[in-house]
This record gives sequence, C-alpha cells and structure tokens, in this order.
Amino acid sequence: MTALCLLATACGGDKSKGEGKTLLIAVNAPFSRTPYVGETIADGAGLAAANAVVKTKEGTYRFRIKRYDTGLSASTAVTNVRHAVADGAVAIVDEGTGINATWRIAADAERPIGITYQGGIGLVDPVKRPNVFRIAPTDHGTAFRLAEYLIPKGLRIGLVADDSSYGQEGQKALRQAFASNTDSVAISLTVPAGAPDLAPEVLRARRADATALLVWAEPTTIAGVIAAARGSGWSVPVYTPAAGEDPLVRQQLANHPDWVDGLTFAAGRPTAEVGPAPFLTFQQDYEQRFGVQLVGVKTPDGAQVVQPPDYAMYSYDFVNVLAAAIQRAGGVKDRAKLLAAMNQVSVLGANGDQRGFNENNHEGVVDDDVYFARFEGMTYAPVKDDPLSATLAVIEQRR
Amino acid sequence: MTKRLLVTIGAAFVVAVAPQAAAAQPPVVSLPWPPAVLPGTPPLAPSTAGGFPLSPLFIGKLTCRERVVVGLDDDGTPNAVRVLQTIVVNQLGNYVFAVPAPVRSVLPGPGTESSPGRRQNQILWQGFSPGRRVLAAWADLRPDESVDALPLRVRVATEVAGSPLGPGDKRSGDLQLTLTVENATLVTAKSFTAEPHPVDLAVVLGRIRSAIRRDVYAEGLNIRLLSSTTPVKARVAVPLRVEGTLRFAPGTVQLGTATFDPDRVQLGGARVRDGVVRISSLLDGVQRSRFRIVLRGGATNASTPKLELRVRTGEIPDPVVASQDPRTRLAGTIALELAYARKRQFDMFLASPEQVGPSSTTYVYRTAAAGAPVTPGASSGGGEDHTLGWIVLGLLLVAGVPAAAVMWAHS
Repeated sequence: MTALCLLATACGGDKSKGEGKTLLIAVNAPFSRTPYVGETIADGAGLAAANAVVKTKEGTYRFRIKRYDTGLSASTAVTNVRHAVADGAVAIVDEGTGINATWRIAADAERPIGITYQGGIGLVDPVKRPNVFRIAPTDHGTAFRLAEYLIPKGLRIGLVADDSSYGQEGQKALRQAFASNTDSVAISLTVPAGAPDLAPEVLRARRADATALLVWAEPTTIAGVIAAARGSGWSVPVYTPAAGEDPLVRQQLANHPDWVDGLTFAAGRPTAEVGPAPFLTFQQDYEQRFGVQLVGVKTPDGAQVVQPPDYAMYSYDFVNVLAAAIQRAGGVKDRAKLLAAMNQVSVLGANGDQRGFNENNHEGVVDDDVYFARFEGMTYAPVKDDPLSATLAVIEQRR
Repeated sequence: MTKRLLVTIGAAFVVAVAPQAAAAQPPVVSLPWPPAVLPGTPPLAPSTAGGFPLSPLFIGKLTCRERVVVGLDDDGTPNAVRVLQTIVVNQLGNYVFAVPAPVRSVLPGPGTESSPGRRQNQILWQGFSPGRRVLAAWADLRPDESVDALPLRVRVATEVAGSPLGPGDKRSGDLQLTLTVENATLVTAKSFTAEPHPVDLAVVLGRIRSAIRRDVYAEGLNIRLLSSTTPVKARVAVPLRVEGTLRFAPGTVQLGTATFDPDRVQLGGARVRDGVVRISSLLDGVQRSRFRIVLRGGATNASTPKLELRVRTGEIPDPVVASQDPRTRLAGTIALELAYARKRQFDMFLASPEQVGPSSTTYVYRTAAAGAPVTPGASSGGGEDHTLGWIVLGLLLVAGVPAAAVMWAHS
C-alpha cells in the first residue's frame, strides 16, 4: 500500500484530458493576508502552467496549480507543504514565509521549492538547501544597489524598518550594505508594523538631520511613514524596496496623490535590454487570462492606474524553468535527476532575460538586475540617474 | 565543308580564348582555415558544454586574460589544473555568456565584480555592466580532460645513490637529476602551395600582420591563384618562453656539474651546498622543441626539488620578405597565419566569450602534491626574457643559513 502511494506520489500528478499526465504545482502564498502578493504569484505560475507541455520518454506532461494559503504564518506554511507533498505536487512555488522549516519537508520528498517574492538572506543556500531556488530580487542585492545609488548623492539617510519579518530581513541587509559607509546613515529606526501613527518616529529621523528616508517595511508602514512626513510638512525624499510599488501604498495615500510623487523604489527590472516587447507580450497574455489589476487610483488627468504584473513574471519563469528541467531530466520519476537538472537549464524569461540556476547559485535574479523607479502622478518610471535604470523603457500603467 | 570550317574556327577560338578567360578570373581560395586544419583544442571544449552566444553588443568590447596553474607531481606529471580567467567587459549593457570548461569547481577570482555560476562543463556569467565590469573566476579543472591541451611537457627524474628519489624520500649519496622540458604545441597541418596573385597575397599578408599587432583573429584571408594548388604539409608550432626555478632544500645538495642537451653547457663546476637553478629559454617548437638539464652532485638527506616554470607564448617569426618569389612568400604567409592561429589557441586555454578578441595566457607549472591547493600566488622568475637561448645559473648562496632551511621547509 505504501509502495503504491509512493508510486502515485512519484508520478506527481494525475491523468486527465486525454493524452499525458497533469503534474501538480503547489502555490504556497499568503492569499488571505496580502492578496496582491498571493494572487500575483499564483497567476504568474498559473499562466505558465497553462501553456507548458513537456514531452519526455516517460510521456507528455501538462501542469496545473493548486493554491495553499499561508496567511503569512510559518506554521501554516509547514502544514501546507506537507499537504502539497501528499497531494503529489511536483514542485512548490512559494512566497517565502516559513521556508526555514518547509524546505526540509520538501527536501525529504526531493521536491524543488521556488521562492518568488521574499528576498531574505539565508533563505537560499545551494549547499545546505539544494532544493531551494529563488526568482526574485534578493534583499542583499536590493540593499547594496540602494546603497550604491544613494551614497554618492551625499544624503544623510534615515533607515526605517518595521518589525515584520520582511522589515527585519531588510534591516539586516541594509546594515551590511551601509556597514562601510556609516557616515551616510543619520539614524536607524525600527517601527511597529501597521502602527496607526508613525509621526513620533518620523520626527526622530528629522531631528537626526536625515535628508532622506529609506523605508524597508510592509506597504502599510511605508504609507504611514510618507503620511507622517508629508503631514508634518517635511518633503524628505523617500526610498523603498519593491514594497513601495505595492498598490496598497498608493491606495492608502489616495487622498493625497502628491505625497506619492517622488517615492522611489528598488525592484527587479521588468524589461531587459532587448526592450519592453517580451514583457508586454507577457503582460498581454496575463491580462487576457486574469484581467488587468487596477490599483484603485487615478492619474492627475483621470486615467485609471493599473499595476504591471512584474512579480508575476517570477513565478511564471520558475514554472518554465521547472518544465525545462523536467525535459532535461527526461521526466519526473527520478527526483534526484530532476533536482540536478534544475541547475543546468535556462529559459527566456518573461522580461527577455535568461532565467535559470546553476550549481553555485540558486538565485534566478542577479543583483545587477535591481533597478530604481520613481512615482509621478501615481505611475512610476525608471530613474535616469542610474546606468541600468536609464536603459529601461517605461511600462504603460494607464487605462 | 562550311560546317567543318566553323567547327575548326570555333575550336581554335576556344583554345585561344579559354586561357585568357581563366586568366581573367583566376580561382579564389582561402588560406588554410585554422579551425579546419589545426586541432580543436585549446581552448578546452567539453562536448556537452552548450552555452549562450555572446550578444553582438559586446563584440570588440571584451578582453580576456588567463593564468593556468598546473600542479606537478615530483616526476613532472600534471596532477591539477586550475585557471584564473579574468574577462573585462568594456560596454554598457546586460551580459550573459558561458565559458565551456571541464570544471570541478568555480570560485570568484580576485577583483571580480560579480560571482561566477557553474553548470556541467560551464562557467556562467550573467549581469549588467555599467560600462566596465571585471569578471574573474578560479576554475578547478578535471586534469584528465585538461592536461593534453597544455603547451609544455615536463619530466623530472631524481636519483640519489643510484635509485629514484620518490615523494617524501630523504636520502644521501650521489645525486643525478634530469629535467626535460618539451614544447608540445607542434602539429602538422594540411596546406598547399601555388602561384599566388601578388597583389592579393600582399593584402592578405597585411591583414595577418595587422591582426597580430592588434591581438585579434585574422580574417578575410582569400587570394586569387595563378596556378593549380599542390597539397603540402605544414609544421606549425608556437614559440614558448620558459622561465623559472628548480630549488633544492638549502644545505641538502652540492651541485657539481650541470650539462645541457643540446647545448652542453658546463655549470661552473662550483661546489655548492644550497642551490637554485634558474631557467630561461625560448623553445620555438620546430628547431628547438625541448631542452634537458642534467645535474650531478652530492646529496645529504636530500628530498625531491621544487620546480616552478612560467610559460608564455612568444613572438611568431615573420619569414616573409619582399625579395622572395611569390610561392615562397605564399608559403611564408601561410606559415605566419597558422603559427599565429596556433598561438591564439594557447593564449586562450579556456575559451574567451569573444573568441576573435584579445586574449593572453600565462602558464605556471609548479610542483605540488596531488590534491593540495595550487595556490594562485605571484609567479616567480618574473621579468623579461633577455636571450633566445637558455641559461642556467646555479646560485650558490645561503650555505648553512638555518633560517633559509626553515623557510623552505615551510614553503
């Protein structure tokens, strides 16, 4: 009986719709707590799964996804991964919550996990966690790119992190990035995530003579910091990691659109040197399948603002890398071979970049690929004073 | 009658005109194409490497420098091959490329501004260059797939008291050491001889010389011929400059004589207690493909010596002069072309992402126990080569200096 169960699990899916088998890909993400993140990850994976067909000696494989809600809880994430393995998932696409525990469960079952949102240092280690991969900007890369961008400006930076795991991981990365340039740091603060009023903390930063704020926190905290600064008449420039582009920030500041102007965030670039065509094609496919994601705010001339599916491209790419690895491994029955193949293949990513992993590095987004974009009128555009960002095209965000 | 006359006239016309037509359009041929007539390696090219083509954006914008460190057993057999490859990207933009190599491991090299990736038989680079970016990686190669492509063969035989001295042995008695160093770049390539169109030949020769000056691949080497071709074989080798040292533990040997093949040079006859033999040579690979040194003396509790050789490709001799007849000039031009192509092969032990661009390689052969790290330290025996011959000097210093012995023992 156990052998039969193992065999069913090893086959990793079910037969359906005529030819071949359908492999299950689990999406483990916080659908209930941060729906934008969860839905974006699931939709990106779903789009790739819908299009991928792998023909091997074992037969033809198609894919489907199943959503598992973590609610941003590590223990729920663990339970989800156990269920995903029991359900016969061939791989797990993960937002990142609880990875420190879930990776081992997946490793024991020889299942690859692909993190497509969180960038925390230590989540990915090709030696200690050979089944964990990531396609998302790392906190390390983002922090160093921010330091590289901001320090030459001669700013005295107030580093603000909230006490969420996202904020704390970011604070760790910022400490490393600014370690050899402490003169650039006016103050380093930790604020409570989701606090209704951050005016006292912002005032502390102002009194420390900060001339810029770098806020590594959840979207609500970022919005709170901006509101506190602008509400007190302080026009300090604000910089953030990718959380700054989360629609929630703009939604919370919708009554003061001008407060968003100038907000600059660092994120993985959505377009490559080949131009915006690959991303626009991906965006078109994505929107045809799932519809546009309205931010819920308007531009100064009244156009609806939509959120480009930039984070969706990471889960999309991961599923395509997985499919390429299955192709190379000749199927999914030999799990070890499939895991090894994950290190040997590349695919053309949704943004036109080569996407893949290798034996030394399980990061699918290189640190160089972090770019900077600045908001103006509720939409953002790549900055012009950074060599990489200056090469990137503007993605249309008006409807 | 009329028909026969027409045929006769026609035949006469063909006979008269055909050679002129042939002369008007002599056949155009390419000089022997190096990838077709020379061995494929170096650069190393594992069969399953695959890779990414270099973006045209970077053509002419990359330079490559390599340092190949070869670990040698005491008898000169290579036991490890490690390569430090430094690629400088002089262009703004995204890069993604793979360097094929039989890698066991890949680590970031000194000064690198990005971390190398590793796949089966690949060193992987991906990132964004803000205008200039240094990419350096130490690659540990599988020796069995690398040593055959090395430019130099080394053999060392050390005997004390009439029997071979092995690793870890320490013995006293009469010493005889034979060091043989051989240029292994010589190959035979398919070539041809013919009567070349002199103007074309001059143009092609100019292109080859220009490519040599610019350290790039020579292209556009087509010429018209005024005669049919005759196949010939060409011997092609790369001149190698060899410099280095052979060191005995201080106080363990007294060198009496040193003889050399082919030059039979006497080494002073000095009696020494401690010795370093300095080696400086040019092995052109054709006229002189190897040298051998035989050292004799006395050993006191001696162990096998430590050898370190630094090898670089030398200048390619240009045999073409204007006073030569066209056939001789063609033969010289082909010899120059093939020798330069062969030199570029050894200047690129690992393939540069831009194979037609500038590249240089220094080989360091160093005695090291198998499995021991072949450290990427600075080369010894540096400086410029001053002679075309080879000179061996026994340095007889530091006799009886205990500190030197201690230092050596810990080196």
